[in-house]
Amino acid sequence: MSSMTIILGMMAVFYACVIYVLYRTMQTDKPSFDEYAVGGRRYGAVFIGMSYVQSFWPGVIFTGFLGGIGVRFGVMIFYALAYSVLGLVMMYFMANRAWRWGQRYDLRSQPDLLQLRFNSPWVKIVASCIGLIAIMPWVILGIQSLSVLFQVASDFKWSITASLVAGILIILVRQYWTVRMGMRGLIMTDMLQGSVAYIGGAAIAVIMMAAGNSSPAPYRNLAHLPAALLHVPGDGGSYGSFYMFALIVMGVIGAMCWPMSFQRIYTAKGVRSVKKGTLWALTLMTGFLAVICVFALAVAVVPGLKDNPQFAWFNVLDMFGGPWLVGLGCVMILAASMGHVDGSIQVCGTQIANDLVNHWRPLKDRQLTVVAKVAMVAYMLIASVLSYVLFDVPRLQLLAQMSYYWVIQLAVPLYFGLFSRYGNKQGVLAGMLSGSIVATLLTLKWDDAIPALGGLTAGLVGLAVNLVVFAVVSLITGQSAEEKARVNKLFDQTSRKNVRTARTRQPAPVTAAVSVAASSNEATAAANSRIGQ
Amino acid sequence: MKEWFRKLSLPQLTAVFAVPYVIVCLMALFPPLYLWASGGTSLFLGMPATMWYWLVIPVVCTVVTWILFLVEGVRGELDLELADLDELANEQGASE
Repeated sequence: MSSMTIILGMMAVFYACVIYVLYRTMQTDKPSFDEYAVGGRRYGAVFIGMSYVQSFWPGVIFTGFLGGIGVRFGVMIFYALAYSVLGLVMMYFMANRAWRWGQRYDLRSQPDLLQLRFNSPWVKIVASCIGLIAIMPWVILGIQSLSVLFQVASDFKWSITASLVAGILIILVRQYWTVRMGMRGLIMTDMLQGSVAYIGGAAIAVIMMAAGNSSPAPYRNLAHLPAALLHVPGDGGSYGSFYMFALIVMGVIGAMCWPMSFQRIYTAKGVRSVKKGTLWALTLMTGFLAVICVFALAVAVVPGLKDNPQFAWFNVLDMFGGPWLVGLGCVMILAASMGHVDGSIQVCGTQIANDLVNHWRPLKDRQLTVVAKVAMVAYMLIASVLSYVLFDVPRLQLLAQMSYYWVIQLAVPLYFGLFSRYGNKQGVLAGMLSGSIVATLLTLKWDDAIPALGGLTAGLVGLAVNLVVFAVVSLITGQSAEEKARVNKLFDQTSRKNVRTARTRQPAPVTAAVSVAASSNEATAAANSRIGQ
Repeated sequence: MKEWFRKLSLPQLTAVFAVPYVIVCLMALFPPLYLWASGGTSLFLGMPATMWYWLVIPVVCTVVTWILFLVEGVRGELDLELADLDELANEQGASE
């Protein structure tokens, strides 16, 4: 059996398993919009945790990070571990207010929350547009990375065009199910895909490091690393000392700015689920990424990999286990990439229907679902066409970098909105727009670090401008007494002090039941009035 | 131990847990610290010290956040229904 047959066969089997899971877990062909957008808010911690990791780490972790950064630059790869974990800690602290506001006001997206907090549909619209635009380059890169996978799988016998078309087709077929099922389809398959990609990936790396002489990358390689691989950027070399800081801080604050990551909060069935899901994600992320980072350093001294570091993962697997292990490695990348692209497309469909179309033309529940489905198909087709047309366009990487700088501009309204009563809609809008413009202009000149600023990036400078403009404009325009009262009420509803006090009480069962019913009615009324805004 | 955590006020609890989070944030984000650790070649359990430095950050974060979750559970802050919170917010509004 040729290696091409083995690898493509393994990928086909895995793909069939994913489709089978979708088929088996589909409960209805006509989900409500709440079911479609946030899975009916009924998933437990393990599902939330795995789904978050899928939305956060695409297959590029095995190619671009392990090879492109770990093998080439050594210990610098640990910045990915630091920002992923610290970003998840931020999700933990957001959980209480974000989820409780979500349940009370029937919020379905991150821009929905920003509208509620700053009492402005325009905040929602601008935030939604930033998210939708920022996601597109990453979906395109995700599809294009699948083409590289097919080139490896075909032993480089398929042309680039044929590999790209295969990558597009595999995503299109998968999208048929995501469009039909919405969030439920994602959550169910994330569990399978994530287990294979992250638990399987870490297991293979551990086995290879423990295998001693029979492995090309044993643990003992770490004792013989060249000094150059042990220095972070800024410690010598051309980068300033703030470069590592910039990379990590952007990752930390950006983690919850990505709409697909934030959306996971609203799929949970309670604050406990969100927090416990975050802990599962934290544990999985720490375990997986720590192993991958250490493994990358063990691989870095294997001769012959530096010329083509992006393929280091495939090459060491081939040295250790031949085509069967390469096939497994390809399946892992396929699993991680599919999950990430699916999550991105799903949240885009939700945001287009919920945040944009529904604003200008209020829709009924069934119509919202239909619009979300149509939007997902349209977004996917545009991404597919662009991934074909823009293949081999080097500026696409720049666009992806720029999009990261755009999306972190959402951090100011998101963090101030959830953790502080300060600020108003004028400040938020002026801040987001000015920050995005500054970040874009600076990226055209400095797509990586800005040497004069010690290695800070254009995105961080944009964020600083955003923060200052937000603070100044909010201070000048102020909050009306009515708006202050509204914001105070929002915060009082989720105050931890209130949570503690209320917990110590023992309400009579009848009172509690009446109270729950009253609250439920209020929530429905609030949601209706919100939609009517 | 459970009783001790239940009796802690919110500022006290915040102070207890802020310490490890601030330390790991400084380790990851404060250039003098990570540049000090950069290039450390001395081996511990067969791995260079600089790699251990970066591994401590996620491990501490994960462990501390698990402990925080357990403490919040003990204090009953995780499962409260909106109705209970409403009742209290309304009472506060009335008293003001």
